[in-house]
Amino acid sequence: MLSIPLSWAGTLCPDQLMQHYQKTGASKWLDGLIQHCGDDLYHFLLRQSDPALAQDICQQTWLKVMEKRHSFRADSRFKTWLFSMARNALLDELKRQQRWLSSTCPEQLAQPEVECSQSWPVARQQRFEQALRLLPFLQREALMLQLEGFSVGQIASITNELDETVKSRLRYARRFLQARLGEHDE
Amino acid sequence: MNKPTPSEHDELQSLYQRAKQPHKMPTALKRQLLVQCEARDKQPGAWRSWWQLSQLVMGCAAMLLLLSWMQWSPTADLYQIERTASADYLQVQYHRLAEPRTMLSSQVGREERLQLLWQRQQEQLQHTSSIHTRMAQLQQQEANWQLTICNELQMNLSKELVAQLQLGQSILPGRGAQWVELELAANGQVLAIRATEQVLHCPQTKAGRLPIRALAFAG
Repeated sequence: MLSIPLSWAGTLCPDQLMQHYQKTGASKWLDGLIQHCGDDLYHFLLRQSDPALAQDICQQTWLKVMEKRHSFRADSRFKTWLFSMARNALLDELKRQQRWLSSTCPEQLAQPEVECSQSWPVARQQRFEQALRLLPFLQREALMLQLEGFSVGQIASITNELDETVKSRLRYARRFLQARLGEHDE
Repeated sequence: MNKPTPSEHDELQSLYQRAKQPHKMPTALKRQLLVQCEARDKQPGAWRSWWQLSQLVMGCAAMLLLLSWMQWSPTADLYQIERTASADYLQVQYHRLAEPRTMLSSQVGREERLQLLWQRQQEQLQHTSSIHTRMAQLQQQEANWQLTICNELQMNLSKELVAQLQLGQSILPGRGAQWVELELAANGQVLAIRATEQVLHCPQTKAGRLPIRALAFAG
């Protein structure tokens, strides 16, 4: 019944897909947008919460895309708009659950230590993911957004912060990650 | 430290991309969203037609408002004439001004509104109505005026109406009966009253009595 995936969806960037979706409201354009940005958004939310909340916020965000498609400004970047809405929804929910800026989640701390018997790339990957989990919420957020391809200005826009604040968070996050990755290389 | 070296960034980027691999958006969620989107897209009523319908309704309402505004003029029923019969006259008329409508700003005083509407109405009458003159005898009864044309017609003018009428300089308040020339619109509305030296000669009635009751107070 649903046309997934669309061959031509890959040829259009999310901004072009959004323009088509904005005009028509047809599901094929939303399908293209989800193909492009759905996994990135879900992963971002998952790293900042838990699977249930990530799915919930993800659904809320895409429903907002449907509802507010006319308020999207053509001169802005779709992915920035999408992540901005998702981030706001996530923060609202975390505040509601009184989980906002609580130190790292217990389940995250309970992750097993990297075993020494594993191969070097696998161990490094695991150390990276563990270090990512141990980062404070705002630093992890800034770093993940940068690794998603957002510029400092776009991250500042998504997080409603100054560029300098974002740069500072990125600096601390990278320093922490390099330290965690480097100490095991020695 | 703000900008990582390319090798650092590349390594973090590749580590991050690999970390994303096992955590894709659940397919069921994607399907559910697309179903919801299709449902919105196919809804015939949906908000789109609702929007169009509301636009149509608003357009019609605006058109009706405009038409009613064109039809209804605040000056239309400002001047009121009440007609009755009597034993002495073929017709007795009571001319008065109605309470001015509140189409104008409520901050404008009643007298000012009345005057403004009166002026508007006079301008309209000058353009649309054929004006004719009649001789009549004027009798001032305190603030109310009475005009008589033989035994044909008696016109009683209210105080407010008198205040708005164009009165010739020779018509002075408190003066006794006098002959005047009336300027009348086709609907019988009095537009102006001017004093005249002429005297109206009324035909005798069948009963032989004096035709103009007003003559009683003229002499």
